[in-house]
Amino acid sequence: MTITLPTASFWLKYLHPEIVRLGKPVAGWFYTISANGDLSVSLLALVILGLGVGLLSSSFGVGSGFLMTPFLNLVGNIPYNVAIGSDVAHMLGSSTLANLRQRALGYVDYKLGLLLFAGSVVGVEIGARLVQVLKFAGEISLLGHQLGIMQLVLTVIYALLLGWIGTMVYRETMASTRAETMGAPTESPAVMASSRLQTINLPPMVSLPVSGVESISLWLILGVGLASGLLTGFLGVSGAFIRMPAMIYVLGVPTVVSLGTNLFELLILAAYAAFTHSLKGNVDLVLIIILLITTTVGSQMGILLQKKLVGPRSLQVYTAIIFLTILLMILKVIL
Amino acid sequence: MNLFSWLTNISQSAALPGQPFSPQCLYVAMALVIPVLVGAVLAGILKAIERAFGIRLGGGSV
Repeated sequence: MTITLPTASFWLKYLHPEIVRLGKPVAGWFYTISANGDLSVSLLALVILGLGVGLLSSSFGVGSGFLMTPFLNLVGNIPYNVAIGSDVAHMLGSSTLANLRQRALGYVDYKLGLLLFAGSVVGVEIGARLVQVLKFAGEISLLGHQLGIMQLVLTVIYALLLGWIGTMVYRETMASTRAETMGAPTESPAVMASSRLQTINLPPMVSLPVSGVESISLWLILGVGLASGLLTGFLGVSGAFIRMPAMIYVLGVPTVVSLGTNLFELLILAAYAAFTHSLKGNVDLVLIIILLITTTVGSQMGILLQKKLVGPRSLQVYTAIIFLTILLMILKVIL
Repeated sequence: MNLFSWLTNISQSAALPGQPFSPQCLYVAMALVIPVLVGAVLAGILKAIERAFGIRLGGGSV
């Protein structure tokens, strides 16, 4: 059974008019493009993709956005702009769910959340406009065939980011194995550098009473928001891997407050990102329903299996999945 | 008309063929309403499962 994705079809026809000019269907492993250019993706493939990404992200705590967007492009041939826009709309749904489920678990510093959001709006808008620039950047000739600049640039960026995540997971695996045999780890250089950032006194200074922070530069908060917003707008990822450590180590927010504040900020950030990407025509409404349902089921499966799944051996498997994804992305570009 | 056909209809660009995407208001509104609605319904379903079976499910990952 296949499902036609209306917005992905529009952009496929717009960005690759030669497909319509062919006048005959094109078939991939998990998708077909009809003679008039409509993109239909295997429902089973989308369900497996959503379950798998939900399972991996809840088991290992990283990867929903990083894996989802490239996999949508790989499996369904969905243009990157639609994969990113649909992923941020999907993030709005998953953060709604997480806020409703976890609101009793953590305190929320609304002042901090809104200040972070002020920086994030700028970051999201810059990111979404960068996607627009790439979308209309045209094509270049690579290894004897025409290739969209957006496809090439975003493949390289996702490959680099996934490579970085894969390397970090691999190093963590090695470190946890070493810690088991040699004892407690030392404080990382990144944490020490973050602590130094906390001493910046660039005015205006603000206080965060809920977080117990007496005085901190507004620019630091806006900078953290901008960086995570840029990642959301440009790549469709939550940016929590920057925001959470930055809140704890740079802004000095207690962990229990950072958890609730992160979820609150993510909700309003994802709402703005979904709004601006929908104005640019990057959100596929059919796709987000399928992704939300399947990733939620996958994430519950991941939590149930977490104790059995997470260990040095499974982290190695996760690293292998990441590097296999990079390999497939490169093959898609060059073949 | 089923849900997916309706979503396909409102996703159609208001621009002429070959012109850049021109979003309809309903499309932009649904890009915000649908995720929030589906997320809230899923949260309700998880809560109902927890009550029915007396188990504790996960909080949802983002």
